[in-house]
Amino acid sequence: MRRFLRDNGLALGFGAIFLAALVGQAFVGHSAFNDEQLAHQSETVSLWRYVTSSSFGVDVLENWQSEYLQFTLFILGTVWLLQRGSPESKELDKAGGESDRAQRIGRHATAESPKWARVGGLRTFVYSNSLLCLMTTIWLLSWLGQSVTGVVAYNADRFDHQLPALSWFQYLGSSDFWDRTLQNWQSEFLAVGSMVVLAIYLRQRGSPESKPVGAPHGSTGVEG
Amino acid sequence: MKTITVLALTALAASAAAGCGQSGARDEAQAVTERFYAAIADGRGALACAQLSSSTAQAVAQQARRPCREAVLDLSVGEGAVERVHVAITSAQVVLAGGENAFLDREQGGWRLDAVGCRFESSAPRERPADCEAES
Repeated sequence: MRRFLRDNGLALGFGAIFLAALVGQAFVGHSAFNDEQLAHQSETVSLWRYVTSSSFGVDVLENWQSEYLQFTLFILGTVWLLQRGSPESKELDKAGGESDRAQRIGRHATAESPKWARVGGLRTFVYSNSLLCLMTTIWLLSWLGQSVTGVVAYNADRFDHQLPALSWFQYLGSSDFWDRTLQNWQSEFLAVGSMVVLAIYLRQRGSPESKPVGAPHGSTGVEG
Repeated sequence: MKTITVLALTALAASAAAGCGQSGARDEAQAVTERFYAAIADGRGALACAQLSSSTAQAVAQQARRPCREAVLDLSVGEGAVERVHVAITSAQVVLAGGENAFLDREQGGWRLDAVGCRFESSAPRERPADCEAES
């Protein structure tokens, strides 16, 4: 058990703080929602009703989609884009998909390589891009979810002001949809971009996201 | 994989629960609207006022300086044939025949009409609030 916890500490740790934050968001979001309801002399709702409502859904999903987009673009961007001195970048002569030998696929696969890396053909192609495919799928599904829940939450606000309902297609062109989307995108892009650049000059001893403390600023693609 | 399945099933159950709730809410919002218009047609002012939100009933009375049950019968509203109902969490828009609209809000006692006899200007219908015969 102890060994399992040690071997999976990163996944378990982040899984735990994710759930704690989500539960916290549900409680404080419920409280804020009901405060707003009371201010409008409307009915307050139960916690279950709130967490199954579009109001909670859009608040959760607008953040999910931007996080998955961030990692999707980071995975894709780091195939070709380089940053001298950053541990987040590959070495400067390795831009692109790299050779089969470097990627250990097909006849260059080892006995320990995953089966789909060894077999070649379509399966190896799919497996070679599987991380990007899944992250893209989750991003698109959560962005779709944001739009579906967002139109309901936005219409609820519109009805309180005697404005007519927007259809889903109309909502996709609305400032509310793009405001929710872009306010999340810009913060994700800033965080990734600043980490790429700051890691050129700054270090965190022991973290693989940093270069070794004594590594020169110009060394690229080195993890500590 | 098990975790993903559990999360997917939970999301599905939550969506189904929300979907069923919305269908019931749509029926209730429609029933309140129809009851209001039927009461107006029958001259039953007290019943019509009971379908209004407390703040809207108060506004109707204050504007006419008469009790709501009397003033509500003077509102210029249509026949109340419901064409569509849009429910969004605890708010709703009911589209009536002839381009009239009603807006409802879910109060502690159930759905109540927050604005009735509402019409949108045809030139800018999407972003300009409707002109209503009565609202809170």
